[in-house]
Amino acid sequence: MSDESQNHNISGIDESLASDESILKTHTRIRREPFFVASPVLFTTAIALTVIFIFGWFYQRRYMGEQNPQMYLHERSDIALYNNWLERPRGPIVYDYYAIGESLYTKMACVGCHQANGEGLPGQFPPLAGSEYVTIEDSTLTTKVLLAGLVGPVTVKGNEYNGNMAAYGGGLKDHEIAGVVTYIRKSWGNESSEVTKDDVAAVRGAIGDRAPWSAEELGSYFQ
Amino acid sequence: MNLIGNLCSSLCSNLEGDAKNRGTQRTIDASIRFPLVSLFKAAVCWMLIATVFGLIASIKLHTPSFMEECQYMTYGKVEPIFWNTLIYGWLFNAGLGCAVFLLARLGGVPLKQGVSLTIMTVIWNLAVVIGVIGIMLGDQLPYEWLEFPSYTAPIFFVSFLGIGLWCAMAFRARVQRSTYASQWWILVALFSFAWIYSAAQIMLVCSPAQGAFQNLVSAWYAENVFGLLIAPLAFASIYYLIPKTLGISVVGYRYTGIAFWSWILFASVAGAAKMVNGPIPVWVASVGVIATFGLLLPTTTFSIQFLGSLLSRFSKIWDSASARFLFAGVVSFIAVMMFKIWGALRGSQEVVQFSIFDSGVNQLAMFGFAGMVFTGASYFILPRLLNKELPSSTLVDLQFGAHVLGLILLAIGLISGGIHQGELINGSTADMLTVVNTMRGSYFLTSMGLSLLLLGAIAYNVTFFWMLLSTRSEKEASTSLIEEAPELEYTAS
Repeated sequence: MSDESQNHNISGIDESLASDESILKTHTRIRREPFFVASPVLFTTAIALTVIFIFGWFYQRRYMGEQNPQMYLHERSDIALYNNWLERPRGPIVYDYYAIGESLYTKMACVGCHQANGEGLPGQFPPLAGSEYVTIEDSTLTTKVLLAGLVGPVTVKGNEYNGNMAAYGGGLKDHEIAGVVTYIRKSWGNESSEVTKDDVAAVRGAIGDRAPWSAEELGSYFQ
Repeated sequence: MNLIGNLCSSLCSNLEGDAKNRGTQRTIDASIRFPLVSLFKAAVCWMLIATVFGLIASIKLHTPSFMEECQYMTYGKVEPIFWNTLIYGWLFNAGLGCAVFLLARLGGVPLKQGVSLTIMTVIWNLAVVIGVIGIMLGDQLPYEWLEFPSYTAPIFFVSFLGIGLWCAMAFRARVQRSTYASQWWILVALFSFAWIYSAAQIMLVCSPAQGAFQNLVSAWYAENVFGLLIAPLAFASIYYLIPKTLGISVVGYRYTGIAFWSWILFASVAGAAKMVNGPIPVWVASVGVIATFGLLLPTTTFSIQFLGSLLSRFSKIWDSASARFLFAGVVSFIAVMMFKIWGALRGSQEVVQFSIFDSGVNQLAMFGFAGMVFTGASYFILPRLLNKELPSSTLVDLQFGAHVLGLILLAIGLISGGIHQGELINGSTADMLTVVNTMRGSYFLTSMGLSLLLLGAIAYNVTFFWMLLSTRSEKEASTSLIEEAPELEYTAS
């Protein structure tokens, strides 16, 4: 074996070339040396710090979502598109009351009693088709019944009923009430006027939060 | 061969020549011999297990039919077992072993209660075993590097509290008033792991945060396992081994404070960079990217310090088992940090975000940086603990060569393969299966790299257990092999 290859043979035990105490003491002395001296470590560290500051400065200008903490997009073109979309011209909301009502009538309890054809169940639930409570010209009656409910004996199309119409004023919003009222007033051969959410709001404001009506209380509509 | 007798005599050496040469150093080493040997025993076994699982997971990527019959060995189970045994099995045990040795030696006083430390680490390793079995049974959690089932979390936490308290008391018992960078880094690792582990467990498992926020917590935790647990333990070992094996003070040591504080500041936030394009406000990810870029500052300081020290005594590197592993670890560290910083930028995330690039950088960080440094440190520590020579320098050479070559293949396969994969997925109209088939070469390369790492792990295991179980030679039995170390000289720069 040549000397060189022997030199590069690792020995059984790595020699310790510095005692532990001297490592501590020497390095503690080094830490007390003046900080700002010509040193490659300080030089490169300073360069790295400068690079990071420059990078960080431009990066935060470019990629902080235009200073909007709620922004999820990072491309400027995307952000501009999104902002344009937020500020798009918006007209008043147009409700299709009949469609709203149609959907609610079948989804909610209405269809269970008054049936899909609006005829009700003879002797138990009054019909809506051709009912004077529905087709009446003053739509506030229909709205009032839907908002607050109706209990006790009632005569519809000449037949006596004694049931319990639930109140929906607490569960449905104005435009939903208007939708249901419009739907039943315009279906199954009924051809009465449409009701808007402003009409419903007016009725709701007038009657407030109250107990179900009885047929007598509403009798004034038919005089 | 009386293996048990040899094992006992390794642990409880009673040297005839000891009386003559008895210094504080030998008392110190004797006080931590039992916990340290058990820690390194666990570490080398987990290293072997983790590498085997990594190899299985890698083979499954290019040959999906491999072990497809076994329900406990599906890819979704093997992959998390690989990462978790790698981190909580091998690197945690090895890093803690180095930390305990450093605390004892730099503290300059024999440590008490070694048995309670051993009990705590045994509980920790039992928790890892339970976790691996739990993953195999299908109880795994979906968070990166927290896949161990939730019922192992209290065991991990309690045993870690014990380990941390023991180390804090060991630090407090030191006789030297001044401290060294290694001790700072050990304290950082201990305190921050208690913080990140409890925070992640509370926000992900105990009372889960909102869905999108969980991603952020998970990414933050995974990045901090590297940045605030594994890397600090490796830094501690590097700072200690440089003067020990090279006989010089660390170049530019007085600027260590900059690297120390800036690393803690930036590394603890850097995880948010993974959330680029994620479902969280854009400024969070941008802060993460800036923090990852900020890691350039400590990386520069570290690089000049470590490389400057190593290159100024370059010929010594090849004479010492520890120093050559240290050198490979430092080179891997610089490569890892460059890839991490580059990979965090938005332009490159466009390409590499969902590719195998991240896995490659992490494997290079774990195997290449931390693994090599801890292995080097253990080659320094073990002969001193057991008062035995390294049994075969050929095995050490073999391990070094296999690991370096394996890491190069791994880096080419996963990192450059990951960039290629990302470009293919982004830029082509080919369907996913075609991309997967094109990537097969990279996966083969990765498997070859992991096979080499496995070879190295086997060599390491043979060295370790040979050393532990062999009969003492005449020389080893009669005298202390550890010679008095010379003083480190102070030269004003």
